[in-house]
Amino acid sequence: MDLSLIFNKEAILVDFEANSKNECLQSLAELLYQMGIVSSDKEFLQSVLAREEQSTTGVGQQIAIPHGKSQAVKKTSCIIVKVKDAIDWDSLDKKPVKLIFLLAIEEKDQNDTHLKILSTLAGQLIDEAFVSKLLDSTTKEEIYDALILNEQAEIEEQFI
Amino acid sequence: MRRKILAVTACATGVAHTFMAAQALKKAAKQMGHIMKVETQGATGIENKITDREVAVADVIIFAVDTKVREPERFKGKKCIEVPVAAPIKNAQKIIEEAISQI
Repeated sequence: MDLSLIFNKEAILVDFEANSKNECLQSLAELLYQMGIVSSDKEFLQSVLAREEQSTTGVGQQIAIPHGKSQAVKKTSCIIVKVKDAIDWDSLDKKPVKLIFLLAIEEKDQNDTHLKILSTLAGQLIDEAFVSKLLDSTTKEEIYDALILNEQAEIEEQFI
Repeated sequence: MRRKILAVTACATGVAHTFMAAQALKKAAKQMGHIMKVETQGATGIENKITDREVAVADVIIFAVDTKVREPERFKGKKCIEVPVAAPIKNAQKIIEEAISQI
């Protein structure tokens, strides 16, 4: 899976400062608007917060994958944010979050390459070695390289 | 004993949790020495679809879902457990143990 199709270094932020989950999501929604990824930051933010209300997106290991599916999303995208100080995210393992993958997903379900890439990436976040490499990264370049170079090991065996 | 376990994962948006749960289950099953196949029902459709033959030989089925399972008639009569999609992301080994205790 070629992650470079969807990620570029401009979509990776380090030393991001936010005091709370809501403040963080609001700033990132505004950023997505400035980047031209969403047509309305308010509408997109609403879809992200609605998703947070259903259940936490803090998936453990200091990672959160908030996401919003909205008509305001022009092209399915992802931004990656390493925060300066860990944020409380009500995570599954109760640990505060240091690395945030915010997914902006187009309203229409489709068999789209970008969606597939994001799904693959979500699956890779189960791999502790990959996650600790990302958490140890301090620059955009390091995070980008860790993402692009990671090869998902096939762990499935023949069922029959 | 080496068990044959099937799983179906699905979440509301169908992009993130569905695929994390699938990987978590596959990884834990491998570590525990069981054979696992996971069908994802996400925004990109049904992937890695479970066949009737696989259902026939499976010991138990795990539904890790926050939405309705698509095409549930395929699994009729099999031993199964249903948990939220976040459950295997939190602790996949525990969910597999729970499933095996149903056999």
